[in-house]
Amino acid sequence: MKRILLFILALGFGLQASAQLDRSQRPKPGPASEIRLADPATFTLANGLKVFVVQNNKLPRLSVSLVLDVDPVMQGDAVGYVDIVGELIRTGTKTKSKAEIDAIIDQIGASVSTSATGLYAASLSKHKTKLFDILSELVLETEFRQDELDRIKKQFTSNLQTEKDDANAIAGKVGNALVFGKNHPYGQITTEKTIEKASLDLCRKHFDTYFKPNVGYLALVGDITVNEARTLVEKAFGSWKSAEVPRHQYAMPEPPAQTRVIVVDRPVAVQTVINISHPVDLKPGSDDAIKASVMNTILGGGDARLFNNLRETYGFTYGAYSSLTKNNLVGEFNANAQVRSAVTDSSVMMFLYELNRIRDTMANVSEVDGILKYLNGTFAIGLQNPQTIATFAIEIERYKLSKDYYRNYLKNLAAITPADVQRTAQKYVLPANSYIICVGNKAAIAAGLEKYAASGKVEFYDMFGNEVKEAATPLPAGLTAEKVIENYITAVGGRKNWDKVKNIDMTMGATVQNMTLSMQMKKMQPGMLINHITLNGAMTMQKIVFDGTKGKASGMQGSENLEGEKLEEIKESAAMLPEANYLDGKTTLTLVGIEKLNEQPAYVLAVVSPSGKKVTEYYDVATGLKVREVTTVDGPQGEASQISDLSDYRSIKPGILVPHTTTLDMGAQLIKLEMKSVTVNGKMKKTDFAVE
Amino acid sequence: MKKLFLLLAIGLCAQVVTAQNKIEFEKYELKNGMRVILHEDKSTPIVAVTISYHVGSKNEHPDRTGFAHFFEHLLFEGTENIARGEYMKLVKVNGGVLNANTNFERTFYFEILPANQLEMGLWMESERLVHAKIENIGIETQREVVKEERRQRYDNTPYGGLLDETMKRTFKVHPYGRSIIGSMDHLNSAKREEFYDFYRTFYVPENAILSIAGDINKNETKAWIEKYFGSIPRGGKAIPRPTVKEPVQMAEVRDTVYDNIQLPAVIHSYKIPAIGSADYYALGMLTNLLSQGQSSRFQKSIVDEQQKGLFVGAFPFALEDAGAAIMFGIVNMGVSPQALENAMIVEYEKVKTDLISEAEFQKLLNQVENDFVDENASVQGIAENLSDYWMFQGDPNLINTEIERFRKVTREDIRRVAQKYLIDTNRVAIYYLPKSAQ
Repeated sequence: MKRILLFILALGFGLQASAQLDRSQRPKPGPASEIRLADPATFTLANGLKVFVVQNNKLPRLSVSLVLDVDPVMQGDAVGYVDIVGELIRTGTKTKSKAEIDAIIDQIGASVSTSATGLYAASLSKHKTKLFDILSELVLETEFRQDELDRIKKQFTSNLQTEKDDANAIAGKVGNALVFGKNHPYGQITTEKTIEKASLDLCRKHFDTYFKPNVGYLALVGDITVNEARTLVEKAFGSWKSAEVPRHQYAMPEPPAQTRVIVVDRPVAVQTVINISHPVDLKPGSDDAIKASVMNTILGGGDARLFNNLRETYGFTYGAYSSLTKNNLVGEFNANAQVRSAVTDSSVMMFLYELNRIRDTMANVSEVDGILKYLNGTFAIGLQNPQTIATFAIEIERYKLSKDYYRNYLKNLAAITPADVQRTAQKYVLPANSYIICVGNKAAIAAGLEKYAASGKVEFYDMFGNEVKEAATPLPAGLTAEKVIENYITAVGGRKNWDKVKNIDMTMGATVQNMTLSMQMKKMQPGMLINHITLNGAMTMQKIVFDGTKGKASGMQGSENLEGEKLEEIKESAAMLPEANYLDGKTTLTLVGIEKLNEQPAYVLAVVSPSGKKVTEYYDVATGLKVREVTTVDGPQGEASQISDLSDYRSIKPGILVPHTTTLDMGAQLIKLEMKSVTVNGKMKKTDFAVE
Repeated sequence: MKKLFLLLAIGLCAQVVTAQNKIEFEKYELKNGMRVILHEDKSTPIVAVTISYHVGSKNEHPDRTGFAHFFEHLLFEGTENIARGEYMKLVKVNGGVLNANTNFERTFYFEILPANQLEMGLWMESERLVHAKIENIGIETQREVVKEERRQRYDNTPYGGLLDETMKRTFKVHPYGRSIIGSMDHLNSAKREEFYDFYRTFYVPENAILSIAGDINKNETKAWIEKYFGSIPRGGKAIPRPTVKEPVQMAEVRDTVYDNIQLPAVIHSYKIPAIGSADYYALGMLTNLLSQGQSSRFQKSIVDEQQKGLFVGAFPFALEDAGAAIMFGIVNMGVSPQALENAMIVEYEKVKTDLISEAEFQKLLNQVENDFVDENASVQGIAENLSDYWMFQGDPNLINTEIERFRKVTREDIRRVAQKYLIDTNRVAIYYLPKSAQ
């Protein structure tokens, strides 16, 4: 008995020991479920409208989507009117105003959205009759009204206005104009002027020509039987008149002969939106379609190669991705990320590295195999939404795919090899024939991007896809950076007058978020400085004292002795007229070109001082005065370009000119400093500058 | 974060379920205090594995804003048994997708997997809970990534700073006033030992809800849960939660913020009670009345008829400790923010004065019913909703019954809450202006 008990105890312990989980053992998957695809029911109305019904009673709801297979049109000088047509459809019928239509839709808790090429609506299935009534009226009793058109145009114009500060929107527009060309419907750009040209006639004509049942696919998905669907659709759309719909063909846009780098300037940007793209000839259902998608997924679909490189290895971005769109007219390859300004150059380099790597080196079998499993899994996840089945059915019809296209999809996917991936990469990813479009702070990024352009030159574009001609003002022959500095010294009073300045005491003030910021700058020959910033006249934000050799900075965080680069920088700015020292031979000066600032041309100088500090400076062509400095600083927002604009130069005894307004643009904040007082050669003694 | 942002970006989706299709689930608690919910749905061979930790930005030290979200990023780095960089890959090569999000209250992790990979998902989440590996290389990389996330979503996006600016002025004492993404300074300062401390405090079984929905076998699933999570010991420490109460606001707060935008925006933020409180449901219907659908008051009057706004929306943020109803409008070109603000105020006054019509009230009920159905259309949506209802209101069955609370709201209630909360002294008003106007 005892033995048995012991045995059981031992067994118990044994069991417990073996139940101790070995966490390093990864679970094995169970048997995979078979993925089954049901065919939707389908029928065609007498007017040619093809209808698909996917009955799914899991939830008591119903969605209705209409897709019209029409070719895009060139919109001439009224680009945007086709989008306006889409909006107008929902805003009036022969008997109802927009407010009445809205009330009917909202009353049943439904949603209805329309476009020039279809509509989408959803509601609980118990409201289906009411839903079809209003859809029928929108499509068959359409009436476009002038007051609604005016309202929509105003909204579109306001929207365009908000896009001026939206770097992604800008990158998208400029990208379309370049990749597809402005002579292709996908490259047309909407502006305030083109919106203005959109007339009621133009809109009505478009609707009457293209919104026809014989080019339509209608899908009903959800809690509805085929018979119910047939009755509802027949009643709602049976009397919709068919008509011949014109077809349009367009020349296939070509990728650029060589890679071009395009910069759209956004001086306040803290990040650069990078888009590397070119057109591709890749049609839905083509032999390459699935293979090329697998290739793109390896390169940049989700947490793929681009993501792992630019984000997970280097921390350049929140995310880096690529896309490869299939389209019957023309598709597009696009690789994109948003990166901080300072790493724009490095990020483009890494993009190009990955784009070349997938072409040049065959991916190993396990990487391709992993991606195939991923696509297999996401296919199943997609089927959770019954809408997917309807989408498949419409694509099969619209793109003339084989009836079994999606049923065979997983089988075809499984057959894809590393060689397929490399071959499609070489065909559809063209790093040597791309547009590298960067929307960001030109002053901080443009110079570093030149090497990626085949021409060695960066091209500058505005947000509407027009080239900004910089070369309009060529540099005068014989002008050098040194001469620009000499001209500046003369303009601010000349060396002679500046030599008379033994000391200077300037106080500037600004109001920031209802607080008064005051900055006092004292300088004394030879090269001593105090810079004291206070808040509300009392609290010291920062105080820098420099006695000519030693420097100390103090503030709310305590104080530190200045050393190394920081000390050198202070030493440089302690000079009475620091620019005069630019000609000492230790400073690197480069005359970059001429740019317009507030419509006034200015010479652009890149200055690298002995301390290593890099500043881009702008000198007004007409007056010779310095009007802007751009420095990269480490601020609370991280690395950012700080722009200081200098203006309101006034003459001070003994004949020197000093800017009385300095506007600091820190990216997130604009601070306008106004001169409150300037004293030259007042009471000041060396001990004032003592550094303990 | 994603969730809050979506609310602002695409409009109110206070969506949840109808009594017609009851969502069946089973809930229980492990010995270590971890709560578990299982929902079986065999219609597609996939499963959502989710785990929600009751820790968000409101649990952060005031000098470490952004910490909870930063930490979320670190939990993709790896564990004792999953090498650095392998966590995301493992889900991918097994046919799944994963992500996470952090808000004021909680941090939510999920995988959607082929049904036969459920055990893998459970193992991975248990690894994340029991011994995540937080190394300097990962911290430094993710520090940069999170700073880029901040730049991308807040600093370099028009109106990106709007929610932070609004919450900062609405909650001066409660940590809801602090930014979820965090300040650059604080992100720069976060240290490794602080992350371990945070991990040991908040990432403990008694502070987590494991919610699983999809094509599962319940008995097998329970056995696996016991296998991977059952042996994890309790954290045992008291879990610190903010106890401060935001004082009642006595006077209107009015301010101006400048940003890189073109069209001015007007924000009104009114303090409202916490999630699940008696007035919350009436307030939800009130904000729907103002801005859900094109026949809503703001849309019909201000956007369509007066054409003063490009967009005007009303968003109820009912949080665990308190809430705010945030109204946000962007002017149409050439319209002053004052004109837009006055138009918004006229709409509040109408609701406060006149009882809404029976028809308009029925519309609100129909919209709520529709939203309840839509919200639970996917297994991941169901898993998340069950988890949230349990965490914040103590009852996952609200997924089936909460609609009844909306149905109990009367027209008089809607007028009453408008009169009670939409008052000047309870308001934070912000003009969000282009820098060029400065």
